[in-house]
Amino acid sequence: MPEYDQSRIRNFSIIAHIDHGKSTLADRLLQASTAVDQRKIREQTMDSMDLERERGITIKAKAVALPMVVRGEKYLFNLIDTPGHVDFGYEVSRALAACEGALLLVDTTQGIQAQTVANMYLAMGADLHVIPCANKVDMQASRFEETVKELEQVFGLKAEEVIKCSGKTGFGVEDIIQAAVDRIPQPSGNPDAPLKALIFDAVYDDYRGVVMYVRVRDGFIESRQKIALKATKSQFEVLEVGVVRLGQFIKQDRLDTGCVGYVMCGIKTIQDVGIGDTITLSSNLEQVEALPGYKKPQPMVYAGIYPVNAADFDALRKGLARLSLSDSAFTYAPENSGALGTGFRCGYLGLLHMDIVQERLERESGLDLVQTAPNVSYEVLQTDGSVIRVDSAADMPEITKIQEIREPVARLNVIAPTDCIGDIMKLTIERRGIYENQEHLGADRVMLTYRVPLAEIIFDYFDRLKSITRGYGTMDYEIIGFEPGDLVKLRILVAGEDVDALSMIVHRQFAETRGRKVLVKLREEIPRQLFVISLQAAIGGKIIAGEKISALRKDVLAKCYGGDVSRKRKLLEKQKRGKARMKMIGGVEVPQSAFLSILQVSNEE
Amino acid sequence: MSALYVHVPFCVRKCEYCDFYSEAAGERDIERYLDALEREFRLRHESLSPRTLFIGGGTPTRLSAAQLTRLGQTLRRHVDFARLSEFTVEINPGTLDERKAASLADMGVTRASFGVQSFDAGFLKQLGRVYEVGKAESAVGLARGAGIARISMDLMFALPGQTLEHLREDLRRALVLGSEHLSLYALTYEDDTPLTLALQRGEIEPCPEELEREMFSLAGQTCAASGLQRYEVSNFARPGAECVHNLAYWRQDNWRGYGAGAHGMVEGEISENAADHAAYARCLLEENRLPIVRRERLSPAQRAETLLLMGLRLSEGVELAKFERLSGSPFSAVCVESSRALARRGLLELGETHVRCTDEGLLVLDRVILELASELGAGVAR
Ligand SMILES: Nc1nc2c(ncn2[C@@H]2O[C@H](COP(=O)(O)OP(=O)(O)OP(=O)(O)O)[C@@H](O)[C@H]2O)c(=O)[nH]1
Ligand code: SF4
Ligand SMILES: [Mg+2]
Repeated sequence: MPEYDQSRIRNFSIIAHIDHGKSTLADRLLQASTAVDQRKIREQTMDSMDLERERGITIKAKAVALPMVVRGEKYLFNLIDTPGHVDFGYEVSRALAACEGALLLVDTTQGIQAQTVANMYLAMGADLHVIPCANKVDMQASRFEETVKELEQVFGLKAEEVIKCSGKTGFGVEDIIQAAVDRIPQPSGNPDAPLKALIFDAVYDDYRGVVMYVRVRDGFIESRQKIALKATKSQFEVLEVGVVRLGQFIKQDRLDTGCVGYVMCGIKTIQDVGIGDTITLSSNLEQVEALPGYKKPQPMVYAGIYPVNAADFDALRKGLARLSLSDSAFTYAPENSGALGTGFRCGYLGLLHMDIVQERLERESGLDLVQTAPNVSYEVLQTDGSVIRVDSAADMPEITKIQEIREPVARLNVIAPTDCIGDIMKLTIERRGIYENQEHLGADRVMLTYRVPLAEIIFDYFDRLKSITRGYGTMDYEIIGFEPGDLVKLRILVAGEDVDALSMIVHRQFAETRGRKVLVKLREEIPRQLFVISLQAAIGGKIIAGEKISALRKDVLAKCYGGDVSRKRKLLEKQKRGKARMKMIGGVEVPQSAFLSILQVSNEE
Repeated sequence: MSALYVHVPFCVRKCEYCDFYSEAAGERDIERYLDALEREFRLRHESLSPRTLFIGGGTPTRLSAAQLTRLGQTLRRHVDFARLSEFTVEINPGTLDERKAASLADMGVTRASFGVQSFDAGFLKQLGRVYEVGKAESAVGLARGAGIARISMDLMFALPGQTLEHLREDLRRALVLGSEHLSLYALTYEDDTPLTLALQRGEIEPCPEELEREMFSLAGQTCAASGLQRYEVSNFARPGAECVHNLAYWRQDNWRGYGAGAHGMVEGEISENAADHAAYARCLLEENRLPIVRRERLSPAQRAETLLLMGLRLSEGVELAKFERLSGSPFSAVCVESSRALARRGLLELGETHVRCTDEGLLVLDRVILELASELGAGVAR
């Protein structure tokens, strides 16, 4: 007999724009839950708690079980955490697919923001019942009425549905709990059908291996069951199932229909577990149909990572391998660059993902690394009719073999003060954006929608947006597919030599401006040398821009006598080390900073 | 042993551009320093019979006539003057008087090196030099009058606001005084000096690079017209009047140094004394031991590198046989690529006996050395 009947279970997420109060509200719900029966929970968790302490492991809970008493009845709330950021849109959509409802939290001092919209669309796409919560009403700057109007206008929600709350003071939290019981549907699903469960997240842990977070759709899952994953067809034996409470893994006999919890099978690499995949019993892998929506993560943004010291290549490889243990969306493959030597081409879901991975890598491996400017992934239709994926400008086939280059295009939502419309229009159109829609949010804010090539967004768009909107603008995007573009490979030549790590794919219209600006940037980055250095930008064989770095004219110590020798030798040692760190290209010493500097070059005049 | 250096670490006040160790000190400090110097000679107990002797600073003429005489007596006691052919003292024109000039001549000084820096009152003030205009001329007169025949002068150029005209005038006045030797130093902005701080605050404009190059050439031409040839990056002399003492540094011959902060190098072994005069004196007088703070034995590769970085400063360049003797390999074998590339650019000339920089090469000497040393270092590492 299951502990909770399906009618007493509520599975939901909290969705919000960054800093709108998700974690604070989650804490409130947790408090409301622990108040129910603290002694019992302690007893249950004591053992595993000691184990956690001994090993010093902290659990990053992806789903928390919250026992609740509402109007004298016992309920189980399963609160499912989502990564929140657009880079992880697919993961968010899978987490939402494990729920029946969502609390849409809006900070009333700020109103609806870009990620509010993006997350709301995902929730609607997953058919969830959404409970709008207008948060932070304790604050002086709170604009409750306006926020309610925005919710009505943008999402067609009804004013009466909106719950007024403050995660900080606890005001309205009781209403939210009651609404969760009354408005969020109980899980559906057939307890008597064969097992079918959704993997909505997976994390790697050195001691436990891969921990899968699942939502049981039909049937039940228990330890010693033989299970299989639909997409990979791989089979495992269940070692342990349970739920997470108060930050502890709590082992259970089984997870029943409608339940959310964890499953451990001692799986060693996270790549073996696809987020969004379906778990079945091995015995009827073929008969059970997969849950919809499964995709393999596909990196959209690529950048090269090179060790500063060639000798660190192996250490870098180890660091990357370690990272990929716990991050299935991140890819890496060795690559050779004429300019930078041997390193890796890494694929990321987006820029935030890239920043997270690169920061972790530097911190965990302690290596000195050079990162090249990121680019998007392209699809190239070749003249022989084949289509290939190209992740690096250096890998672009020769012009004569290219029939068409396609690039990822995103739908971009920007929310900003109305008086910024002109500047945003100008910026986005310069970035090859195509206007799609405009919607006013109250009197002084507007939501603008564009189709924009992803390459133009990853290229400092957010920084520019922030600056032209005085910090008020927020944005979010979703990739909608690949589209052909008039794209060309811009080659950069230093002293007549092609520098693969500096070449880039750009739109023909911007090629010349881009080229000229890259050269100006390089002129700043490359120190003067004993000879004049020519810098050129070219498309195919045609030079479209040129620059020169003049020769060094004077560099000699005025005085050097007996007592100066040691000082001069020390200086020379330092200069030699600096010189050794430079990359030699066409006899020219190029500092590593030059490879990243081209990221700061924009299309704008 | 060919060269002997003695250091006097005292100045009247610190100049605006100077990062050299020097400090204002009282009479007691100076007396104590002279005691310590005497003790250093005694403790080291080296048999010294140098060809050249050089007293530098600081400002040696910060010492009184009597103190100079004492210094002279210390030298006479410990140094054999028999082979000595050049005895130079650095002189700050503002600190010389008749009695000091006489003391110096009595000590056996044959060559006076005047730290003139500029003949222009405005630039002297900018540099923080402590004497009135006209002092330079009278100081030279005093030295000559006392019988010190060989005269050298230091001048600075590439000063903020200086024009070619200013430099031409300085050179004219120095040459008119009958100097056989000139040291012409481009102003260097050393870290944390008042002048550098003023530059960082934007109070002064550095000399533009092209103007500095023109000044470098002007100096060469003007000197040549008066019969002085550039024999080192910053040094010009009538043939035969080169400073033999300094040549020892550039040719990496042996030299010994005495006094606070003094360095010596004998057969690739460098030693360095404590720079602080109080620490130097304490060590010798109270602890009765040598104030050596560093000893370093240079490897063959390091000696070869040091020979390049000093020797290429000379117009004659580096003697190839000497390079090979120190490094164990011929120059053309260890600096193949770099020397070829530098020669192609017209910066370096590889002759039968010497490798030398062209005038163009001297202007970018530090880079030339870096190119050569990098290949040399890589060769040794391999
Ligand atoms: N005054 C007030 N402050 C709140 C309230 N809820 C959250 N905050 C504050 O708002 C800030 C962000 O709150 P979080 O709960 O961390 O927001 P979040 O949505 O989890 O943020 P991210 O995880 O970074 O996206 C914190 O400083 C909270 O203390 C509220 O109801 N009233
Ligand atoms: S006199 Fe010479 S050593 Fe003394 S402070 Fe001036 S420049 Fe420096
Ligand atoms: Mg949070």
